[in-house]
Amino acid sequence: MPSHIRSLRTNIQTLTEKISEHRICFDSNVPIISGNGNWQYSITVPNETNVFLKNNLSYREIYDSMVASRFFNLKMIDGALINLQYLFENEDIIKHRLSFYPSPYLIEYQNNSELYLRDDTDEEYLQANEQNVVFPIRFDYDIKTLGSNHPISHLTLGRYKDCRIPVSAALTPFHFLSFVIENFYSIEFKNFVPCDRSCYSQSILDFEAEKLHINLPIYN
Amino acid sequence: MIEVIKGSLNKQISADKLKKALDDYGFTGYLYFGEPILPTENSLIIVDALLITKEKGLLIFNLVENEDIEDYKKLQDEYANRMRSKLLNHDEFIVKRELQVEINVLTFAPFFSSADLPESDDFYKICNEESLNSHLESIQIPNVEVWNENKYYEKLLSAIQSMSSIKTNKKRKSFNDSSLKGSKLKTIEDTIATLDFEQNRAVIETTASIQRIRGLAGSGKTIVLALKAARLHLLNPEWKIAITFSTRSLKEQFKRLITNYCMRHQQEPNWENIHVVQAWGASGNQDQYGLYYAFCKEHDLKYYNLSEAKSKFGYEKAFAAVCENALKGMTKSKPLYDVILIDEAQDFSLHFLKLCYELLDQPKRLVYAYDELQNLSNMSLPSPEEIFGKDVQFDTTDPSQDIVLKVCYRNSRPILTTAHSLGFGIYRNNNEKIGTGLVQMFEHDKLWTDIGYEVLDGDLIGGTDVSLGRSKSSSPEFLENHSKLDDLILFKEFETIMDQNQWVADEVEKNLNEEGLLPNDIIIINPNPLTTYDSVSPIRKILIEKGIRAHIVGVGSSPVDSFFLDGQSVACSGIYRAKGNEAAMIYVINAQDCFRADYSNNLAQIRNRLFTAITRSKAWVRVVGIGNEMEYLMEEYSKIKNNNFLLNFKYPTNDQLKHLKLINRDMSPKEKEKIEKVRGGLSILIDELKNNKIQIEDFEEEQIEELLFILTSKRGE
Repeated sequence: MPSHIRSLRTNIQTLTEKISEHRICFDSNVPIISGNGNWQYSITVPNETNVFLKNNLSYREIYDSMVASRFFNLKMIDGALINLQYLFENEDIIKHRLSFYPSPYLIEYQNNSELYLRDDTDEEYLQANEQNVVFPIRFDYDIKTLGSNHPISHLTLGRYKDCRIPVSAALTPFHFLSFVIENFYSIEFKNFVPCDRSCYSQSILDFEAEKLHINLPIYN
Repeated sequence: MIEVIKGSLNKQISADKLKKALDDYGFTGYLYFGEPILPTENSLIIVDALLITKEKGLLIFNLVENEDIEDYKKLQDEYANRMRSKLLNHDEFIVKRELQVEINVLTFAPFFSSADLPESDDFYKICNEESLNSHLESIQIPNVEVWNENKYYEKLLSAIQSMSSIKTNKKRKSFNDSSLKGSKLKTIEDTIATLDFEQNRAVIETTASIQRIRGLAGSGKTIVLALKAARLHLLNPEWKIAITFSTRSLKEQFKRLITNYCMRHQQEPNWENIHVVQAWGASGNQDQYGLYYAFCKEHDLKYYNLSEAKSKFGYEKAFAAVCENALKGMTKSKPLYDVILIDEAQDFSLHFLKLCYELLDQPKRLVYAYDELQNLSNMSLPSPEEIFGKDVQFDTTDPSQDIVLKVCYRNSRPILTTAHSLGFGIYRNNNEKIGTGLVQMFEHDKLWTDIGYEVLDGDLIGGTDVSLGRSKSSSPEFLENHSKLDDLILFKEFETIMDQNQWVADEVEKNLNEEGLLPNDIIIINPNPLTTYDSVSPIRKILIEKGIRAHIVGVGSSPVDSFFLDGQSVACSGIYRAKGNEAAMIYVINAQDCFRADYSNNLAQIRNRLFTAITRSKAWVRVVGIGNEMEYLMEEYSKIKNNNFLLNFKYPTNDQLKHLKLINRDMSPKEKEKIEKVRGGLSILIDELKNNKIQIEDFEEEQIEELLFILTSKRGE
């Protein structure tokens, strides 16, 4: 197995431990590597399901199913689920799915941290209410889409089916996790210091870059 | 002497006659009415009466209340066959594949004259009050020596009791090494597995009115309540039954216990008729159903959800206020349930309890259970008359209405007395102002004996020395005999938080890898609610690095969450969520936060947290922390040890009691805020004066005089 796949898995594990150290991660799973014999290796968590592909299910059902089967890398203080899955063929990354699935049952940590940080807060006060907007996001990378209209690396917001905001390259675990912490758990970001300067090479096409898109940091 | 346990049976008259008749014999044993419930191929039969005595063994009665003798032979066959089936499940009665205890069956028909009674033959026996005697005589235990040697009487009792209980034990490996913690734990669990007599009675006996079940934490109230509900459901499948509770995580526990009990009787619970529901509830899917919501809907009243309630009535008393509001608005009572069972009643406002009362049809079958000692200084709840009104018929001397579960099955004597000592401040250094080191005390001294303490010396009279200890019956020895004292309870101080965290993680690793414990045998508890997540996260991180799964208990965000998750992960929790849960090994971290009061909480509350944390333990507890305060706490503990886990102290005088009550009174957040502000202002004043930033001359002479006067005179009081 190519060594960089092993080190990517270790990278995810290290980041998991780092985030766990600082109060906002309540549960996690150890990432594993599984090979399918065709020189393909995936980094995922045990109990992988494809439930989030099922469009006929409600968001609640998908969320419940992921929690029940423990299909997540990180489960946050407000119930949000973070998943990181990577697929490699030999040396190259061919696919990733990095998702942030907030809980449909609870209010967000970012807007209500004082309520969350006391463990004697009555559960009733953390229940989702009319102020809530539950909004999953996913960063997908799929080399197979080359040649179609879809950007290889893209961001999907909510459950809008053709939402594919072009992204300049594949995301490293650090890109994704620091993005999530900085934007959805902002007060914790100061604790999240690892500075990882790795990145994947650009995959965005010129015409895609002329639209509104997301530029990942490029380190030289 | 025969102890009688009356389950529900509608053959009251013949039951009474039987009881009276049997009283004369001087047997030693138990007489059950309406118990056990035995599954048949397609349904259930309920045994009219069951007599288990040392002298006669097992005797089942079929009672005939009226003129219709029915097909008594067929019924006797049913009883005997089903009972045989049940007993064959117990290996202790079987030798060479044969049942070693006789199953005697007798039909008792007190309204038949001797002339009208059918002829008894060797097999099918029927009698009335006159002929009862000769039939009893004819029942003999075949071999009395074998009977006594094998303790068949005790085993029968145990078997019958287990029929109204359930095995809740986890599957554990058997260990060859009995010194391993895992092995010791298995023994403890197996010993507790059967309900004791009091618990048994609490499950079986029902009244057509209020029933109150109280006891210490760990006395089995939740299980008793669950079994009771399940039993009522089996016996009355058309009844609407609701069971409610304060801690969300209990929902799953109740559902599981009820399902287990029903399945043991080969029935599936019908969740249409037995509702395991939370108190508040919201509109939406089935899962959000709650009693308050149902009440509002049924009585056409405005339903307040949490945010509405908060804004209208304030955060603190939101639920109490909406219940009160709903009760006021009710014009005509529209009952929804035949039985309501409430667990953790001390966590609910009285208005909610009243609301449940109103949801019941006549007769008002309300069963409520609560921790007698939730709040160390007061009676947890007022009397039923005070809660529900004078019309309610409640007889505290009737053991079927007022049940006290005295035996604590969770905490051993050393652990419980340690928790009580620290909670009450029994060995705390004297506060010279008040003349006692106590933090809090019961208002009613009777509570001590209610919760299983004996007065060994002295008296519970103000100013007198007294010595209290747990009686052997209320604190079973098997809970403490398995390990050395220093292994049962360990207090340890560390230089730094990091040292503490590393030690805890290392110990947990040992527990799991070397000592045969399972992840859900361990809970790590942090007492201070403001620091829980910051404190447990680093420990969790070390555990993950060691490859051990650990999780922080947070809000039950979806129906599948529960305290222990899938059982393969070590739970880290604060006090609030740990309440109601238990585990064999408890780590109380940052115990230094439990020594002294802080500005927003009084000392009683602080010590209560320590009490709650320690009493989660089924076997072993480790109390750890850092700094001076941890040292002082350890000093207090060593006094407890040196006193042999007896509570030896001077009982407080009435004045002292009053003082304790005052400084530990419940304060509203507004009051607390005010006190904080004023304290803050006072600090600033003192500072500024000390540093000459303000001068005394800056104040008016009159003000200073007034202040001096108030300070000196109030202090003298």
